[in-house]
Amino acid sequence: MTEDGFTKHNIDHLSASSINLWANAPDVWVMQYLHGKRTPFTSPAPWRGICVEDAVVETLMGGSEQEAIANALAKFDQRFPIGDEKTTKERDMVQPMVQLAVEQLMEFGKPEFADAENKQEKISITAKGNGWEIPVIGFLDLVFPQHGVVIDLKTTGRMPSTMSAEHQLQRAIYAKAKGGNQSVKFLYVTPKKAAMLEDGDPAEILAQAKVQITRMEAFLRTLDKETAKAIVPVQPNSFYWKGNETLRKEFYGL
Amino acid sequence: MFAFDTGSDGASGPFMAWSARGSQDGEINSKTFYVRDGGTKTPIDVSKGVVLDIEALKTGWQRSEGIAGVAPEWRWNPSPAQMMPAPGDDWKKGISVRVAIGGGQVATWEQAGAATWQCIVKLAAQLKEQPGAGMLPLVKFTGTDAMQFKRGSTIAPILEVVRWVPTPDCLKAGAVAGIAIEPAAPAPAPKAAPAPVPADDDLEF
Repeated sequence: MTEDGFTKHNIDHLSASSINLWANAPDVWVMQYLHGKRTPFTSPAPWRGICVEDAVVETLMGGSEQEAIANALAKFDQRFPIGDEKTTKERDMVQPMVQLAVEQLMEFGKPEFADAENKQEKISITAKGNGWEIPVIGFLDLVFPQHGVVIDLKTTGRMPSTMSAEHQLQRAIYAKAKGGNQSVKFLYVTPKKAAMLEDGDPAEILAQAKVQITRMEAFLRTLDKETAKAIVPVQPNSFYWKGNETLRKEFYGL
Repeated sequence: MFAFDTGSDGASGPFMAWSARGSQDGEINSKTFYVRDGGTKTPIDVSKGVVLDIEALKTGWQRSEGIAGVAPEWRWNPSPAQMMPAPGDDWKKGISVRVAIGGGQVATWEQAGAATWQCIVKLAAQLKEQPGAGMLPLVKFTGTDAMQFKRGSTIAPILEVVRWVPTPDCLKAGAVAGIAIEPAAPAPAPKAAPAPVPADDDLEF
């Protein structure tokens, strides 16, 4: 019996971000997941999101909102000790985002965490195909069992009217993992407004994801990692390379 | 995080500066750090290492009329992590930091412009590794970066952290003693990432 593609490449799980990256930027995916070269986290926006989330959880768990915001700003400053216009713009969003998110979430009370230490809950579903299977995992931000709701917090500079396809996949995985017992909503927060969204039909989205995973498995089964690197199309202008242009040139020579 | 020094805005000399192109009087070569004390300019070899007092670092905007003897105007940011909007078109980003330059001497590196700013921004990636309050970076000059703009160009110095050292006496308030740049105690090893919690639900699709 031939080895499946995931086993061949020692890939023991996938996630929404891995599947999204495979579909949107296979060149980045090959570098990260087959060659183990991660694109370092250089932009201040994701770090702002982490700081906001920490402060929101701290406040919802009964801490002082003001202190939580101060802690979040200190954490942000540790990462970006010398501010420029770009980092300062993100830093300035922390306080209003925390306040707006807390305002939206207060009614749900204290969230519960399966992993109390890391303030998160791991979920897993399994994708199965012809001769292969692979767990798809994720981590839930805020679970409110007494309200039957799971909320994922997304901070953004601009409020979307509908959830992106990438977020819809993330939500579909969470919804499947929760087996329909809890509704899964995404709370989008900008410095000026907040909105709860729950777009996309999870069953339909997971069916599409399975097609992508099937193609990924076939790709992996067919190629070794050096061949994948040699033939995958490289998109130098892709958003996914932003801030990691040197790494791209080193890896792909382009 | 290193804190913002809310002390006096008046910088005290001597002053350290970076010269990308060299001085017009020929005293200072291009791509050289030097110290200006009164009317005297002396090159200093930063490749041997200097200690930056990042706990009193200030960043801000500077405007200079370019007139000899007229001090440039500064607008300091509330903290190094926050960059205020430019007060006008003719303002440049800059820094002010006290530097232990060796032999118990201290100079103030107060300079604006693209070269200085790029140097400090690049160094910031290493400054965030500060192991604790009172530990300062011993940095050395390791090379230069050519910067090309739409109009003109410049050369930025590259500084790298060699190690972290306790605050030298000469940088302590009111002290006049020599530089103590003993090797810093090793920083505690980072904690291993916690193992993920095993999932108890395993649904197929």
